[in-house]
Amino acid sequence: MAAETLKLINLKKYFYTKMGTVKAADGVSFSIRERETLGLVGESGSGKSTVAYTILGIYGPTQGNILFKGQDISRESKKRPKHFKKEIQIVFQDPGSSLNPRRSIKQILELPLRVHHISGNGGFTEQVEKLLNMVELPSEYMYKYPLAIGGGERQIVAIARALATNPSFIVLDEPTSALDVSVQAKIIGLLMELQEELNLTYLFITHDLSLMRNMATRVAIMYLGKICEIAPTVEFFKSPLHPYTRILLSSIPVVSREEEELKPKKITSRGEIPSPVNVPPGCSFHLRCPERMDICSQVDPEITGKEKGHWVRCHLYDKGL
Amino acid sequence: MGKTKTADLSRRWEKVKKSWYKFSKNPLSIIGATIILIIVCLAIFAPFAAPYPEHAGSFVNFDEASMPPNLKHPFGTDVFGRDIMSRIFFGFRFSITMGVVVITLAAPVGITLGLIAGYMKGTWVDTVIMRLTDIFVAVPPLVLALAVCSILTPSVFNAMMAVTLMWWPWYCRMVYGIASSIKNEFFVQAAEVTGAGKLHIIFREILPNCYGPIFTKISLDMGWVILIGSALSFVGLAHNLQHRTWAQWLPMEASICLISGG
Amino acid sequence: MAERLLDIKDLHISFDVYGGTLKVLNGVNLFMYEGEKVGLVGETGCGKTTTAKSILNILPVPPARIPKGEIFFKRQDVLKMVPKEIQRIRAQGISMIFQDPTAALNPVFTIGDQLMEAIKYSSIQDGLSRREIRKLAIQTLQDVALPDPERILENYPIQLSGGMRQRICIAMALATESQLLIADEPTTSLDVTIQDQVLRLLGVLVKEKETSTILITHSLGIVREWTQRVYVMYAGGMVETARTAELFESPLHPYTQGLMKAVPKLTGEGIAEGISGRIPDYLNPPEGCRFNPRCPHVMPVCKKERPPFFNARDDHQVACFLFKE
Repeated sequence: MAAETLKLINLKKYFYTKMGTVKAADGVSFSIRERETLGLVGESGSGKSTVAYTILGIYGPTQGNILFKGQDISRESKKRPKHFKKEIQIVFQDPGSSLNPRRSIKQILELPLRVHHISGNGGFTEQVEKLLNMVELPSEYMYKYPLAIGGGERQIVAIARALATNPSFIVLDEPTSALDVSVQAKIIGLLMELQEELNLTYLFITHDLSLMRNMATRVAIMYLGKICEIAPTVEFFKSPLHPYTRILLSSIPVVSREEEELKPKKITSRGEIPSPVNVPPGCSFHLRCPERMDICSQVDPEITGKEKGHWVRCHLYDKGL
Repeated sequence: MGKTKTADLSRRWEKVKKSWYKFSKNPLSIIGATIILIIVCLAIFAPFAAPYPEHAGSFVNFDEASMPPNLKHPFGTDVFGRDIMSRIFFGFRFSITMGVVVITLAAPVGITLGLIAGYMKGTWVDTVIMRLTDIFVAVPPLVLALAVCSILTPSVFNAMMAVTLMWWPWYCRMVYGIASSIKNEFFVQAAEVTGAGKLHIIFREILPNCYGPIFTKISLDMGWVILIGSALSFVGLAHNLQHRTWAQWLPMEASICLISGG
Repeated sequence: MAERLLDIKDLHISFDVYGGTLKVLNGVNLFMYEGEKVGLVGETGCGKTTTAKSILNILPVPPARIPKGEIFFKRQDVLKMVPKEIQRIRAQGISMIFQDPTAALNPVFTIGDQLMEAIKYSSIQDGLSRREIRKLAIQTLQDVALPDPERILENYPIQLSGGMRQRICIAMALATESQLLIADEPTTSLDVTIQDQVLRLLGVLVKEKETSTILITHSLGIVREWTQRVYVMYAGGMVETARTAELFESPLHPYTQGLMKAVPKLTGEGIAEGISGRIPDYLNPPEGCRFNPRCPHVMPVCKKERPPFFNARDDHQVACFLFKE
């Protein structure tokens, strides 16, 4: 059994604002093993990005623990020992704003090398060349500026930047959501190759379930700060249990009849996604749930487990699966 | 090594050519740039460009006093018979010096404080810097300059110091606004996540994104600084007996006009 | 033979930039009949938004230039119209929904102000009183399934969610009773469940009002579920067009096939490589077929001549020399 790279224990992150407490992440627990890819899926307000940023240390947790390779890192990054900044990296969602438009690619890629004094034998320039080679970009790109290259290539540079410090764990926050399908394919291919070569562990955040079907080892669905369902990929898609999962799956536009067969029968979602400031009482999903029962508006369900590592949080399964 | 140097240079030259292309798209930019170039050249080469360089200092020729523009003196002459055009060319020197010195001192101070306050928004550093800025902004600019100049001995140097003091807060405020919004951008967070220090983030990540508004403000400010300098001159607070500015003899002309009734 | 509502013939558009001209559109041909739902699918940079904007003639004319081509709307060439006629077409004939609803709505005016203004400037019968316009506005908001329309009229865009804002943009576009609706990536910025709701709603409304629609998107899945006919666009030209079911059953153009393979599938077959190479540099586009540098089936003729549409099957045309018969 591979070692656990990351473990979240009941992680909570609340933001206190004038309009109320935003419970962005409200009791999130999962673990990721070495060389696994956990797909974290959810829509706006689900809290997936908050979880990612808390793991990175951009936010400090309100409650709960984050264990990285067994060590507790449950605080903001400035309070963490420096070497964790090397090990845990992130690729942000929007390549347009995750690269400083006023810095050349060479300067962008050199920064992590300088901070952590990784110069190798040939100095920083040679290291940058090596990084560009790793992601199959021509070395001349060093001198370009982010706005001169396409969105897909910018994202590849962001990936190269994440790799600069030789990390073991990378959070990918919707890395391909803003990109075209053919570019996405290239980048996913690159990510999977790199995972093999460099023994990387990924936390892949997305709203694209079709992508997770082909890339994730396990999938977790989040809604309004809580995990609804989590299971190994094949099991997850074979029998999606949570009503929200079924709605998500049936909303995906697919391109072939075979896929159409696999989707749960057309369940239309109703209503807007509530804001995390006004989380509905009881089960946070009950207002939109087609299978809602009386108990759902009063009591928040607990997570129950099935064999094969399939966990779900829903009153439908209170009496066991 | 030589190969990378030439590659480097050719890249920089490309950048210059591209910038020139963008700049020259608008004919007004070319016209403006030409005017400024002419003025700067006249200022630098005043002793050669001016037809009567000796008129710039003390010179008297009452025969040709107060003449209207004519062929010999395109801008006419003043009460002492000195050629106005030559004096203007020498006056450019003072004004440009004033503009350059004031902005060179005020802008970096204001920008640095604005960057620091913007990046540390919400902390006590932000509060202290911005309240300090508020204090300087609250005093009417000319009053501040007059106060400073009258306390100290009137001189060009002191006038420039006074104007600088009232100028830096505006840079601070402008950059504060930009910096506090940029600090939430992904690329700043990416740098923080990697472990970059505050100095790097402020000057290498945030500052380059402020260049646009900063340079716009600098180019507009030049004009204003020169005007304020002239205003101080007009009330006699900026000169010592050697140097003359344009506004210097205006009071004299004004009073002579009043006395002579014309 | 039914009359074509919109007919774009051999449209060429180029942009002047540093270093030369970007020859973006390279002979675009597209037509549609009344009442159709046509999809225009293509990736970023292929020229779909440029095409859409040129139909409404809202491209900034320098730096854009239109050296060749015609756009016929109800048999009149939009490109040759005087400003007054174009104004009328924009108000009453064609409307457009843009990609980002937040950018399309003015943040300092209420929804009511913006919606009523849109109705006022497009009303077929001039001189509707303010009360009538307000009634019409409320009616349109109800049509797009927004709860509590009176309150929404008083809200500012920032107070509403993305899905609601896009529905308001749809309301604004459809309030004007136009014959042609161009929807440019209307759901790209929305969550997947909301996207589903909004597209479904758009389908219902478009059917009710018998509005012909062009849906522009880069998502093949959406095109399959929503349109009757599809155009696939690459690098400034149409490469394939067919009835939707036909296209997804048998995609013929190598580019279309590459795209279909690259889409991740729920069946879990893994993700294909994508299409090798990158989109052409419009400053120096390749000679002949613009896809030839990336095409797995490239032939010598592809590098010299640009392929026109060939009839590959019934109602299925492909711009590829592989199908020259």
